[in-house]
Amino acid sequence: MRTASNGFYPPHRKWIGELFMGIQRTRLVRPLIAAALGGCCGCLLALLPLLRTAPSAPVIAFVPRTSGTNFTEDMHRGAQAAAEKAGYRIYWNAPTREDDVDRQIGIAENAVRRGARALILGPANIWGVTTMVNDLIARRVPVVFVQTGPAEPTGPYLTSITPDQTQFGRLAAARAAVVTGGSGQVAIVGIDRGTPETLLRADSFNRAIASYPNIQVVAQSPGAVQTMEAEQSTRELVSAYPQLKAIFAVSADATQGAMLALQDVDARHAISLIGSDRDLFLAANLREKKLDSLVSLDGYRIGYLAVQAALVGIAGRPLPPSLHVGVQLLTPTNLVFNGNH
Amino acid sequence: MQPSLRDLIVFAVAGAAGLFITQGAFRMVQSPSRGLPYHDDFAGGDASEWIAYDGNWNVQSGVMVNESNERGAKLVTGSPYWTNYAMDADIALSNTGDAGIIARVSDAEPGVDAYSGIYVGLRVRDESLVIGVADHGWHELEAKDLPHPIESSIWYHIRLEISGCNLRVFTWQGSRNDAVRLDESLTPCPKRGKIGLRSYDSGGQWKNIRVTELSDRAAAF
Repeated sequence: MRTASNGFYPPHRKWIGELFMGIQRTRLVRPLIAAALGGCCGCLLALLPLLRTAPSAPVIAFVPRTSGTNFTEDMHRGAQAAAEKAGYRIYWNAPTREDDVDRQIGIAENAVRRGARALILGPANIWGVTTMVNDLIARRVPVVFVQTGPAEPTGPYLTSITPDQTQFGRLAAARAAVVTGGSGQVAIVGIDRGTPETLLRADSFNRAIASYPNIQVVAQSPGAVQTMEAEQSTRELVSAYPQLKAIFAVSADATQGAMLALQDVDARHAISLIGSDRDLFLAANLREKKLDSLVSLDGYRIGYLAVQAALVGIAGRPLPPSLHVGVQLLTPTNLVFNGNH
Repeated sequence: MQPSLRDLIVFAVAGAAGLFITQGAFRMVQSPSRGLPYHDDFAGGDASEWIAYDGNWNVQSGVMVNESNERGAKLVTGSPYWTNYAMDADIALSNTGDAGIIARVSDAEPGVDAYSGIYVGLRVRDESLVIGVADHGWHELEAKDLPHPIESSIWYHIRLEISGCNLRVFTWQGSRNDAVRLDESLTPCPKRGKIGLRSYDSGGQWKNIRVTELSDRAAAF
């Protein structure tokens, strides 16, 4: 038999030793488990406030072409007023470039994915957003177009609240007739096929100006949302038509560009600029008489009505039919009077 | 001592320790002083700690440049827990739009005014110093005329001190000694947040970005 002295224990002592170690282990294991559990509970208790989230109001997404301008901020305020009244919140975001249709689609889709109940969209390009809009309609998400109407027919899940572009062009034409004295050359700048309202405004202007036989529309310059392009077009017009009496700029950017060009060539005293949209600093420019007049939209009303339409759709009823909101002509004399500055 | 009582005491002590250690770690991470003072001179072209939301940002010889004229491109850094601080930056504009700095920034995402925070900048169109609040929308608080027209590619210094809901802004052109000052009180105001650089309808250049914590004495303006 081997003894402990040469490294071996008798069998009964080995069994006792293992039992002793087991008891020791149990004694250690239980407090260790208690400590671990206690520590975890303490940590969880500290993390508890992070798990609490404040209840938030349901959301309507409003994605205009771009934002930070007078017109879009008016729409934002109108939308917020209507949403607050109904207990809703507006998620407001827009691409940093007016023609960035991909970014706009991304913003709109993300908003709907995060739970927006309806989408109000000022499309960067009406054809570019068709797939997204059709997809939302298929999922019964109400979609309301603002700024310009949709490419597809409206229906129970699609409607539009847009400015009356026909009246827009008519007001501009009537003003052109006044500033030219009923005869002379006029031109249109800023026509952009991607933004249909510029085409509608120009078309309506042409039809209305046709009733003044002595006024001739000598040029209709294309342009995009870039101010610089409109500026260049206006410079070319001024140089090509020295007898030009008036220019109708069909968008805010085109107005800004045309105004810069007319200032630089010092022809503004001879050429009246009829601008569009109370945007950028155009109201201030009008007050300073850098523009003859401005055909202006009521952004607040458009935003307010768009949310009201969206709420109808959210309630499960068919969206109301498309609606045109009236526009007005601002001149330096009626600008302050109307409180539009 | 009964083993179960012993285990209960161990559980309670460990629980309390876990609670205090976690809270302490949170307090440390959420400290308004953490990471301050902050300084970035964009040495070595490194801008890895900045997050871009739109725009075309790159570092050129110690200057952060945004070459895009998008509306509302921004570059953000810092701690979301910074509260009362002064931010300094040198800014040069191009010949349109506006450019400046943003403070107490939270909820930033791509988009024009897609963040919550305070914007202070120089605006070329009306030659002014502008202060406004963005909350996924834009609310302009004040625009103060500058004594001289803004010159493109000339360095202007902007200092924004923000304490509680009080703002104090200074700006001056490097070589001139005629600082423009604006004081504003906001109700309500963004409580805390990161810092950033922002431009609107214009590119811009920024350098020497500094953020320092406002001492209680300095903060009591």
